[in-house]
Amino acid sequence: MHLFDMVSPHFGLSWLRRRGLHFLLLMKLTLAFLLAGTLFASAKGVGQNVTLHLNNASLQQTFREIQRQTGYTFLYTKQMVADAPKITVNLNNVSLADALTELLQKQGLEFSIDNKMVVLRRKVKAITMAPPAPVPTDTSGGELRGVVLNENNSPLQGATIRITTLNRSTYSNARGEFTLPKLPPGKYTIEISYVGFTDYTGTITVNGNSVNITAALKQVLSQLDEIAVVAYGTSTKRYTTGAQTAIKSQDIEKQPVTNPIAALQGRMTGVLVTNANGIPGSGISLQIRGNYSLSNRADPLYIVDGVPYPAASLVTNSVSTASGQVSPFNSINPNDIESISILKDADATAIYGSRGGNGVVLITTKKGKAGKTTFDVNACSGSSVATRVPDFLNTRQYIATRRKAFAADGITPTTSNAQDLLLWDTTAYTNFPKLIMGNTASFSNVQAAVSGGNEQTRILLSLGYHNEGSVIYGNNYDKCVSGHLNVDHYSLDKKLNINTTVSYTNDNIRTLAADPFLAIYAPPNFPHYDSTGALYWIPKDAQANTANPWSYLNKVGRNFTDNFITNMTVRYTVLPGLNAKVNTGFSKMYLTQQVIMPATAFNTVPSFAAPYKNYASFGNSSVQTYIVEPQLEYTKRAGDLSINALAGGTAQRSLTKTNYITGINYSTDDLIETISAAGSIYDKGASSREYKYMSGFSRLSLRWLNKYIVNGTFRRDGSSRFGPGKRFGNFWSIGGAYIFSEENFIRNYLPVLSFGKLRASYGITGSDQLQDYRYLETYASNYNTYNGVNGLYAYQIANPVFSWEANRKVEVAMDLGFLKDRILLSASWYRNRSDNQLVQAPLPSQTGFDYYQANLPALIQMTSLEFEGNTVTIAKKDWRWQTTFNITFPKDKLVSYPGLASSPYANTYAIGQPLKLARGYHYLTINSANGVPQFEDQNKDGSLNSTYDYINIGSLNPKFYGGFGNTVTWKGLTLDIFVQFTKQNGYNAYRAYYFPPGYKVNVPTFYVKDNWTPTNTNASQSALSTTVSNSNGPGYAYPYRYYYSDAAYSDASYWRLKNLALSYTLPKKLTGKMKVQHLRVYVQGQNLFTHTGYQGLDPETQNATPVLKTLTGGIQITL
Amino acid sequence: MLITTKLYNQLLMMAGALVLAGMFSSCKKYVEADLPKDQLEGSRVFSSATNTLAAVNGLYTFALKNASFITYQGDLLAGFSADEFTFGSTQYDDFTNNTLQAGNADVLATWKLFYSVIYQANGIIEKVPGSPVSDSLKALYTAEAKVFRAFCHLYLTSYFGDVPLIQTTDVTVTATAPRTAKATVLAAVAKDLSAAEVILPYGTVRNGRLNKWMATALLARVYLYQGNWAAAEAKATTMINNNSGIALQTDLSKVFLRGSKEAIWQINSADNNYVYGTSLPGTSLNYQVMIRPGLYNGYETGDLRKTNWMGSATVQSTFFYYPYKYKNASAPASAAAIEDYVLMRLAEQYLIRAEARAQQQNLTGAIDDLNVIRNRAGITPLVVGLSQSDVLLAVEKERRLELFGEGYSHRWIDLNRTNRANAVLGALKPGTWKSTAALWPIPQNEILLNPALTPNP
Repeated sequence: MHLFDMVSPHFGLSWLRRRGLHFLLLMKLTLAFLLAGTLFASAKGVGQNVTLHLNNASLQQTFREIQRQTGYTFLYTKQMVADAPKITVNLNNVSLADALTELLQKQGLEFSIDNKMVVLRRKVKAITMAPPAPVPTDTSGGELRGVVLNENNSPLQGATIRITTLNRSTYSNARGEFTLPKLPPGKYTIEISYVGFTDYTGTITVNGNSVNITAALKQVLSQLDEIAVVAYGTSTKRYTTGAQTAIKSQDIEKQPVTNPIAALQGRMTGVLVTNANGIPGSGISLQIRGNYSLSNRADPLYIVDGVPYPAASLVTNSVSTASGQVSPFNSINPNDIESISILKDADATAIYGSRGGNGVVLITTKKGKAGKTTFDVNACSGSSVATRVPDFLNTRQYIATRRKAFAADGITPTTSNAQDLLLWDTTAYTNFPKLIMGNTASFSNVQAAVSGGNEQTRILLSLGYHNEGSVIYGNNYDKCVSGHLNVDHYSLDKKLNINTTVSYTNDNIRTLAADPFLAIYAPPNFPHYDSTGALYWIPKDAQANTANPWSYLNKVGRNFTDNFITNMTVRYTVLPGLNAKVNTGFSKMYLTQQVIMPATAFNTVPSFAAPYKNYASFGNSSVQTYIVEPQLEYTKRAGDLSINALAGGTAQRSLTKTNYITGINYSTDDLIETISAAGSIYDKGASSREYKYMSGFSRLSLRWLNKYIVNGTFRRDGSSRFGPGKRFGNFWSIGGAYIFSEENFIRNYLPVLSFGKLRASYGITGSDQLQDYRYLETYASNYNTYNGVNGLYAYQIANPVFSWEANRKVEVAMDLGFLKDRILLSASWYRNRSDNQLVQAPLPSQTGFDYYQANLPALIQMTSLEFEGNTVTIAKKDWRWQTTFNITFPKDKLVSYPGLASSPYANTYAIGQPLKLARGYHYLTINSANGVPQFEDQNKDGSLNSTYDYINIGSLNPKFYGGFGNTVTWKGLTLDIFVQFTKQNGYNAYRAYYFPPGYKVNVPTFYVKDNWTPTNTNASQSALSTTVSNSNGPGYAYPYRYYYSDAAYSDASYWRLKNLALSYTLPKKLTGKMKVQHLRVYVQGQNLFTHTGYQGLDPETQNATPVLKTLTGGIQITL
Repeated sequence: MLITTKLYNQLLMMAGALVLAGMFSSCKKYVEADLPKDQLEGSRVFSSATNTLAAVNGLYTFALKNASFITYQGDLLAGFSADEFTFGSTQYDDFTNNTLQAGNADVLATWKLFYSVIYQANGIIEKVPGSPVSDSLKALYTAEAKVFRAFCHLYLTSYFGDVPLIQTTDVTVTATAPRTAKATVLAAVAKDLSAAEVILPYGTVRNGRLNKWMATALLARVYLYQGNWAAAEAKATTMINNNSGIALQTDLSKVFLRGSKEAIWQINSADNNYVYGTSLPGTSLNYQVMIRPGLYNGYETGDLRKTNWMGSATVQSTFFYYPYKYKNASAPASAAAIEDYVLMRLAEQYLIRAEARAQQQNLTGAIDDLNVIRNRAGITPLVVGLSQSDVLLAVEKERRLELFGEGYSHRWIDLNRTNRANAVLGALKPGTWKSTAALWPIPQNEILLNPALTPNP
């Protein structure tokens, strides 16, 4: 929280001259009072003792005496001591602090000690109502003077003081003081308001003398006023003009996840988080307001503590493991995160210009807190299982099905087409789905943190370790060690602030080399070993999927990630209201991968043997980024107008390097983990790419009467990804808000409405998410040689004319608060349009190439409605019940696409249809004559053809999604229940199990419930078949028809108990005895229950290893 | 005092603005990223002699080593379309039955391959003149590229008829180029070859860089395809009368070996993993290339070509003949047995001249040329006295028997250029043959991407 932003000193030179130098010194130290409690604590620690024997001495004399004894100097104004009562005191060898307390208690003065300096100030009383004003007899009018403070008696600068009936108003200065001169005599109501604090209302009577009041404002607990990190600064929901939302550490910590992105699922409107699969470290996608990119990734811009963070996995496609695209966020410790802010609309993101087109995710890590040094240890452990494991035929059912299928086909089983019936033990049974993905994964997590410091320097050091097993078989794990250090330092005069963070993570994932998902198909009586004790391989079999399901176990994949992020922000207050700031950051992520494929993993049957004995691939990828962002920010209040202006620049450079090598024919599997033992090099590659980016940005915010807000941003970006002459692009936005609840008619006639805001924004953001160097015509070296010579060949054709794509975003929203903001509702509508997307545009190959980079003329539109609500249903001393709800109705559409029919997307997209469009055949029914599934021949030409007979089946994007959460607190007990829901259609089991029942692979039980037979002609499912090659037979439909039809597309909606967290904080009385500040025990569960009608695995990950159901218990101790 | 404050603020703002302005001015330089380490910018390729040579080498590597069509598949695909081979599985049925659809992936791959080589060649032809190499090297590099460009256009037009004639790398031109009349394409091919023939050196190495004979031999073929009989005869004669030691190999088993004296152009198999012998029989019929009975029964008794160049096998109870011109499926133990893929050989030149002579009513000369080939095959020579049409049929037959499985199916191209496809293939494949199948379909993908292209009927 940038407290100092709000209360930075604000005064002019002229004012200083008028008040004299005493005040200058004092002003410098005003900020030192901000954390008065801490200061008192430190004052007590002063080891100086004094002995005073004074009789009727003046205060100044007393101070001189103390200064003589201790060397401490005193700072005060003459006014303070002018009418101080004389002092008579006898003190023997007491501490300086005690002496001063004794001396000053009756003087109306307070003190603090700072660097051998005793600073005095007037004592202020923490009262919420003005004291009864003195009633002077003079009736010529007078002056109102006062001071505005917060609950800690620190001054609030910039509070509005208003006497409505006189139409007079003013603002408090840096010391919280204000003056309203020349008030006519009378009785007035004074209103004092300040952002984030409750309003103060008091009555004064002016009779000619000056009236003094002190107003202590209480901080409001309204969520509207919580400080949130936004682009290049902080803001509150009350005054923003843009669409942004955030999740705080407490909501992340209660979820047992290892990837912070996973903690966002269902929590925010417009933010769709999807897991790729349930294997540790696997990819996770986050889309802000949908993916409206035709061919590029539509990743948002991620910024961790001001440093851009890679959105895409570093995994080299040449070295891929079962974890797939290892998420880069797997190496960010969720426990180190203070908040994650999501910026959505143009107003919030346009200042990121070209990179903000897909939204922005700002991750802010934790900082130390001043005060007592605390040690915090949080440890938990638990376990995970897959949410769903498919139900396949057991051996008895399988064998029976196979026999019936052979009979139906009229084929005689032989040892070459029916090993499962004739060669193998027909009673042996392995439940392969359970063996492969039905395991229990352990989960343990330990976090330790030290935090402390004083108001000048604060420090946080945290260490974390987690170890997670896997639900897939094999000795798989994800072990992650992380360290995080933050130092936040202010100079004595508070003008200089240096904040620096260093984070390092080491993540070690051991997984299988390939996703064993396919192995679940294996016939349930598949033999493990042959007679020699080696893995069994089916001799000579042309049918698919005959790998020994245990062979996957021997194929190992490893991903090691080192992730280092550091940043430093230096801010200097040049003048009151004018801050100069430089943010510098550096990050480096280094990924090392291994794929180990020992000889024992390969089919030993000669005619199926691989052309190599064994192989191992090694890959190294790294990305390093530095960024420098100088900024100048100016804040000024002029009457009812607040101005905030920001100007800055960005210089960024990223270097991405990739190397990989694959060796084959190692003499022994024992030496397979080093390339030096390889018999020969099978494949190799390396690349190095530099990305440079530079921009200038500016933002101007105007707020008038706390009612009308206008926010404009402009950014000019240059990116090395574009050709000369096309490198720079302009992006801008304008946003406005009208807080109509500030109007008197609302206040008077609709007091139930405590907050009402209309906001709208429009702007242009862009994207440069394309590969580097696409504007260049390049040649590459040929891997092959001819006559011993390898040459250069044309690698890439140039299209120097492509340029920035621009997304035009418009948003209208209303935020409402009822019953003193205990009920907050928000509704927004937006439309994003993009009509010159950067794609790998296809070329006719007569040009020599298939693609080049170009701006595509298709118009793509996303519109959506988003609603969210928060209520504080119960807010009592011991009881608190909060509810949150959010729902998003996204809608994407391809509005126009000139030449779609002649584009390679002709069969992928359709005008007026959603972008993520399922297309395929239309399934009719089972032919009652022969049990063959029937599909509709759209063009009635007698044959099925993907070009002519596909129909638009429907969208693969959700119809709506959201979350519903409740937090109930009773004394130390807190219960969190969070439900996440998605209404969507998706690909079902027909897309995963594309072999017919009766084929030599296992199938889900529902495939054999009601199969066609000559006596069951009204069946809902096809006849059994052992073959897929007869295009007129029933089996053919499974791989070639069902898979591509609307039968494979069905409801994949679900709601799930995403998070359940129960924690108990021991009462202070108890913990105090144990010398423990805070002790909490908890139970946390993730994905504990899923409700769905989906026919398949998990409706979220669909046809992949399902997401995990995790239950953990833990304890947190703070010393 | 107020003025002072304002002034101070203004000065500060100005300073800030200046800093920002300075940043902007250096922006342009800043956003120039280092070039990729694994790619070379086009302009740098042709600004150094070493890189220019590497680009020319790259043309050979790219065209001759990366391309499965040129090394293997080409002979088979069109051979299925013609009456040479059938395949053990249904994979190439659309070729075998002449029912190719515009969406056929192999047809598309063929199209793509030739045009990607043409791009390489055009890049060299365009940019070599500006490169820092000697004038003689410029001429040589250009000539080599022109032969490749001609070679690819020749096959494109043979398979597809009218095809875009691409002679530039400018994507704004090439992306929308329409089909060019076949005659124009052939004329451009002949022009490229004629220009290259003058420049290319004489040479005796057949499996290395291009030499003059490769241009001459190809030119003879182009003239034949154009119906320019006199020119075809002249070029074939030049070729046959060469003084570089290119002569018919008397031992048929040595025609396809490395350094075969009959070879005009061979592709070095040194590091190519021997893809040439892929059609040798395996354990499964599935991947088997089988010679059609019409072809193996077409040989006269005692024809040495049948015994030398065809093998027979029985796999899964099926007896068949298979192409056995290349005998190695993997690198042979003996250096003497190394085979290099033959792109052009002298026997074809005799047959070109025979046809050209027959067309010019020089029937005796034609029969003389045919008999050179027949004598080597160990069969009886033809006697003088045949009619022109009989001689032309004899040429057709001899080309079929001599050149089967070579030159990306001479047979397919011959049947179509002589308008014999309807008669021959119509009889062989009565259910599926249509006269429109003489041309492969222009790939649908290409028509979609370039609306200027029209489909084949």
